[in-house]
Order: sequence, then C-alpha cells, then structure tokens
Amino acid sequence: MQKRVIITLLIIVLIPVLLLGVMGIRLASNEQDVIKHQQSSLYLSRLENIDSIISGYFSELEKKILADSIYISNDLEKFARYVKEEPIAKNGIVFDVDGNRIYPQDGKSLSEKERIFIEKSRMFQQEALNESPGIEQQVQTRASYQVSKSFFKAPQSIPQPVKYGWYTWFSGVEQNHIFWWKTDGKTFGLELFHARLISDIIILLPSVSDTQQRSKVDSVGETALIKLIDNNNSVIYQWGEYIPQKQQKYSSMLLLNNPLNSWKLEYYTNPKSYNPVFNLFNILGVLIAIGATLGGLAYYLYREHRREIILGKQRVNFVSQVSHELKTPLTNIRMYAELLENQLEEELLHEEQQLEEHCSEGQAQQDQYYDADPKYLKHIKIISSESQRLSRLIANILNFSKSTKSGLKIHKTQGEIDAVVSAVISKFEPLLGAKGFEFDIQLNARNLVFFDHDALEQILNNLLSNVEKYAASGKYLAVSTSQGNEYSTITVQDKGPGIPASEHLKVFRPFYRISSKLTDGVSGTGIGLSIAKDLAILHGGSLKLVPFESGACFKLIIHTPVNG
Amino acid sequence: MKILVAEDDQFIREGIVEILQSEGYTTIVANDGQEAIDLFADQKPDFVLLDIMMPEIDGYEVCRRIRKTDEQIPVIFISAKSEEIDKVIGLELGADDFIVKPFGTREVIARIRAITRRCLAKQPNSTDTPKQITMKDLTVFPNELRAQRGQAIIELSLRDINILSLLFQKKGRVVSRDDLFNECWGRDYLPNSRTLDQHISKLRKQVELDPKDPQIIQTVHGVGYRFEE
Repeated sequence: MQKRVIITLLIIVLIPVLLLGVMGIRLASNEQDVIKHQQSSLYLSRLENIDSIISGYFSELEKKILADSIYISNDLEKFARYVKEEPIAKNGIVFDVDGNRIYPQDGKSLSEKERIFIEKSRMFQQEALNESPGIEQQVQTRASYQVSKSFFKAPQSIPQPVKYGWYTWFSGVEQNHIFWWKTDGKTFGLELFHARLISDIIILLPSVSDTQQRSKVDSVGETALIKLIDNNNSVIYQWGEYIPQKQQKYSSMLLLNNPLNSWKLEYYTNPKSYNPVFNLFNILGVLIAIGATLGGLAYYLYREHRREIILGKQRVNFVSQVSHELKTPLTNIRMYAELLENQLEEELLHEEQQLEEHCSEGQAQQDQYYDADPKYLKHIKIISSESQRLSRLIANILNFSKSTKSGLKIHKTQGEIDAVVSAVISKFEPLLGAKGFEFDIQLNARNLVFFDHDALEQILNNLLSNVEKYAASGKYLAVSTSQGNEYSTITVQDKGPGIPASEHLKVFRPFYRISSKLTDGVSGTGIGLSIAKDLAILHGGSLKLVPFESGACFKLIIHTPVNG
Repeated sequence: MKILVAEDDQFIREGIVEILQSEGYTTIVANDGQEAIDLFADQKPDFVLLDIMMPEIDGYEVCRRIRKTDEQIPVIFISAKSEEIDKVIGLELGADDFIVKPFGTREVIARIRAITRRCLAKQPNSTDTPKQITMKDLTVFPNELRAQRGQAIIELSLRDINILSLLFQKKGRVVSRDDLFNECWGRDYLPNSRTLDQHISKLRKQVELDPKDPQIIQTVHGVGYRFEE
C-alpha cells in the first residue's frame, strides 16, 4: 500500500518534470535558431546600412561629377583644367565617336603621369568603346543634378540624356577607379584618387571607439567589431571594441555594391553574446524549481495521506478499544441479570411446587410468603436480552473494525448447524413472540460438520435482528436449514415490506441503509449485513437476497466440510 | 472439586464464583497474577479459570508458570479480545478452553461442565464413585454429569450428581437437610433452607417425570429427603 502511494507520487512528480524538460529543450533550441537568425539579420542590416552609406557617397560623387560634366564635356580645355584642379581627379581621358583618344593627345606634351595612365587604362579604352557589359552603365538626365558650386557658376542647360558608369580595374595591388560618361558621341573618363576615395569613406564611418556619434552609422561599442576589407583581403578600416579570437569566423559578411564591389564588410561579435531565456542552465533551474514544488506538493499529499491512514487506524483502534472496555461492564450486566433470572426462576418454581404441595395438603395459602413475582422475571429477562443485543452490536463493531484492519478469521470446529441455529432462534423467540410472530422452523442440518460457530451465530443474529427491526409488520419468520455434501444452506425469510430489487446489492454495502418511512425510525448501524456477507464469504460461501413473493428472503450458504 | 478463579474485576470474579458455587464447586479467588500463582501452589485446585489482562503478571505468564509444575491441570482463559484467544491457541500455552467476554451464565456452565467431565474421566477409578447408578427409570452417570431416561439425556451439575449419589448411597433411609448441606454444599456453607428447597425443586424438574409427584427425591416432612427403590 505504502509503496504504491510512493510510486504514484513519484510518477506525478517525474512525468511533468520530464515533459517540461523535453519541451524546454525543444523550445530552447528553437529559440536559439530564432535568435541566431535574428542576430544574423541584425548584423546584416547593420552592414547593409554601412554599404548604403558608402553607396550614398558614390552616388553623391556621381551627381557632382555629372553636374560638372555639363560644362566640361564640350571643351577639352575645360576638361583638362578640371582634371588638374579638381582634388579628387587624378587623370582624365576622352575618346571621340570613332574611338580615337582625343585627350590627352599623343606627343611631347604628354606627361609621365598621363603616359602611365594611358598605359594602365588600355583595357578601359577597349571596353569603353565596345560598351562591353564589364562597364557599369546608367542612363540619367543631367537636369536632375545640382551643379557643384565649387567649380562652376552657370545656369542649368537643356536636359540631355547621358550614359555614365564606373570602371574599376587592378594594376598589381593597386585599385583604379574611372568614372565615365558619354555625351555628344564622346566618351569621357575621369580617374579618381583611390586614397582620396577611401579617406572620404572612412570619414563617414564611426571612429574606432566612437562615443560622440559623429557618423550616421551606429557605433557598435564593445559587442562587435566591423572590418572593411578590400580586394586584397587587407583590412582598410575597422571599428568597434570587440576583439575577435584568432581564427574566429565573422558572424556576418556583406559584399559592397559597385564600384567597390570586390570589397566586403565583415561583422565580428561574440557568438555567445546573446542570452536566451531558455538556455540549458535556465531550463535546469526551472525544472529543479518545478520538481521541487511538485515534490513538495507530493510530499504534502503523502503526509496528509499518511496522516489520514494513521488517523483512520487510530479511530479503528479507539473503536475497538472502547468496544473492549464496554465488554467488562456488559459481562457483569449480562451475567448478573442471568444469575438473577435463574434465581427468580428457581424461586418461582419452588413456590409453585410448594403451593402444589400445600394445596394438596389443604393448608391455607395466606401463610405463605412470596417474594418472587413473575413480573420481576419479565423485567430481568428484558435486561438480559438487551444486554445480549448490546453484545451483538459490540461484536459487529469489533468485527467490522477487524475486517478493515487485519481481516476476520474463521476457526472451524466440529458441531451441528441446527444446534447453533436453534440456539439463535431461541434467543429471539421471546422478543419476536411478544410481537406476535408466527414461526415456521424446519431444521434439517444435523450432521456433525466443521464450521465457525461464532461466525454462523453472528450472521444469524444479524439476519434475525433485521427481521425483528424491519419486518415486524409481517409477523412471520421462517428459518430452514439443509445440508449437502460440503455445504450447508440456511434460509431466513419474513413477510415484512421486503427490499426493492434496486437495493438488493446495496444493502450489503457497509453503512448503507434503505431510507423509507418504515426504516427511518429504526435504529441501526448499517454494518450488520455487510459483516454477515463478509463472514459468509470468509466461510467459503455466500449470503444472497433471493427473490420472494412477499418480504425478504436471505439465503446463506457456508462451506461445512465433514472432516476438519 | 476446587477451582481457582483469577480475575481482577471484582464483580466478574464474584459472579463467576457464584455460578461455580451454585454448580457445586469449591472456589478460591485471586485478584492478580501473583496471587493466582501463590494460591495455585498452596491450594492445589482441580482446574483454573484465568483472565488474560491482569495486573502484576498477566494470564499468559500465570499459565506458563502453572504448566511448569503441572502439565495436566485444565486451564480456561477468560478474555475480552478474541485476538488474545487466537494468541492463547497460537502460543500453544495448552489452554483447554476459552470464554470470551461478554459471556452468559449458560456458556460458563457449559464449558465448566465439559472440563469437569474430562477431569472425572481421567481420574483413577475410585471405589466410591460408581460408573453408573440406577434410580428407578433414571440412569445416572456421575462421571459424565449426565442422566438418562429412555432416549432423553439430562445434563446435570456436579451438585446434582452429589445429591443423587448421596440419596442413592442411603437408599431407603432419610437424608437429613443438615447431612445434605454438609455433603453437597460443604461445611463452610451457611445452611439456608430456602437454598436447599429451591435446588431440590429445580433438580426435581429435571429428573422427575412429574415434579408434583416426585418418585426419586421424596420429601420427608420436617426431616429431609429420601430415595426408595
């Protein structure tokens, strides 16, 4: 019993904890994925933001040059001056419609710088003329550009579509950028200072540990490090205070847009810098907390359960103790009532005989002294029979408390069934007789067999006591016994109000009492039939309520072997 | 026959003593276990009635100690708890019988008579107690505490047997009331004519065919009783 309770409580605690554990781990891994995804998209968006700033710089540059181009495209002199004076311009080149270079012109006026540039830009010359896909192209309306005020001060001209783009190439480790545009069939190319471009871009980016937010880019502080890496895989610039470990892979990477399309941005951060709610440590903590709570509850329930059991045991012990204590006074009442009864009987008998003798001898009656009155005998018989009823009640309570405690026991001894049956009937006879009962007793179980006399007596006591209590209106009691090979059958029937079919099984349940006008006023504990049935089963038999035309009919079958 | 009654409840003890005396036994009483052991050694009773729950020494222990000196003496246990009775049987204390409280007088009488029959049957055949005596149509079996008329068996007490035996021994002669008292109630007993008369009336009801016209126990007015063949 105790083991089963402990196992049940363990299951109550362990199953939810295990389920929660499994769910928690799944949730944690899901959350980790989600966080990873969120983080990588956050890093990427940061990098895209930087990329858009760099792209913005280039588009501003494009706008500026395109605006300036309106004034320099129709005059090579102006173009030459622009190349010389514009700080970002390093070299310039112009081709006519046929693809012939018209600036800088060959000849002795060609400076060393121009010669190297022409040499370097041979590829651009070919591609620019063929308009191969290698050259990024865009078509814009010049009118959309504001003219840079630093160089020209002139009114806007007529809008004219223009083709322009970037051409990037490498000569050795050096990267070269040419911004080109086509107008009036001529192709203009403007080489820009690489270092100048880079320094302009770097100015837009936050400083290494930027606290003043001078850039449009959010500083990343201690949590991350962002590297700007060029086509040679060398770090051009980096910011953020996070120091990545050796061999640490970037958390996110983005290739820059044109014209720095061979460059990239790398985002480094602590891969474990995020702190999810459902990490293993938290799950373990929560599980321990839930386990402890459930364990506590289970222990509480277990303690309550045990307390109930102990309390129940104490109650049963108390009842049995009290019942035993009742036995001594009851013994005295019963014994002395019977002694008195015997004595009164003897006296009455003696007086009767004396009377007879004296009458026959013709003596006067008035000389006699009578102290025994038949009324006294009646009174004392009532005390005696009531003390016996009390004995039966106590026996029932004790048997009931035993049946719930350690179980009833049967001690079979040799005897005659009919002797016990008639002894019980004779006990009830005066009581039932006084109520006007008619008896039909047919006893046919006279063989010497083995059975528990006390158990049979108690079963019959309970059955007859029920007849007395509930079937007095029928004024009829029939008891019959019969004997088979191994079993003896005893039926007790009355002509009382009977028991409704729906109650036939319930009446054998402990504490169950049929409620009706007839029974409500009758006292009873509701355990008599339950005990009777238990005893019958214990005796290898059964006690059943059999259908009968009027009243109730109980059929008791008990195992009564001939040899013990 | 002498019976030792050991019971701590005064009223139960006195009640049992009254029942036993009315049956014709001599009784000695003990209030507790120690007294029971002392009285047993001192008085040598024929059998013992022992309550289990007693102060000082309980019934089990008293039984064990008694068994050390006398293995044969019948012991009847008295107890309120049927569990204790299980123990008595289980412990093989050699209990001969048991009486469970609350008991009635008839139960005590039936069990005492059964034990007495066994005791008498075991006794070596003494010359003064014949196996059976015939009084007219009644046959009395003194050792079985029974009489028989035709098919009918009549259960008798030890005192009834003693009275009938005395009348039989002195058949044809009058047995005075004093003699009857001395022989069947004992010399210590205070003679009370009512007691004697009532007992005789009861006995007549059992053994006479017609108690109003007694054939076995005839009254000799003013003297006593007589049996005549």
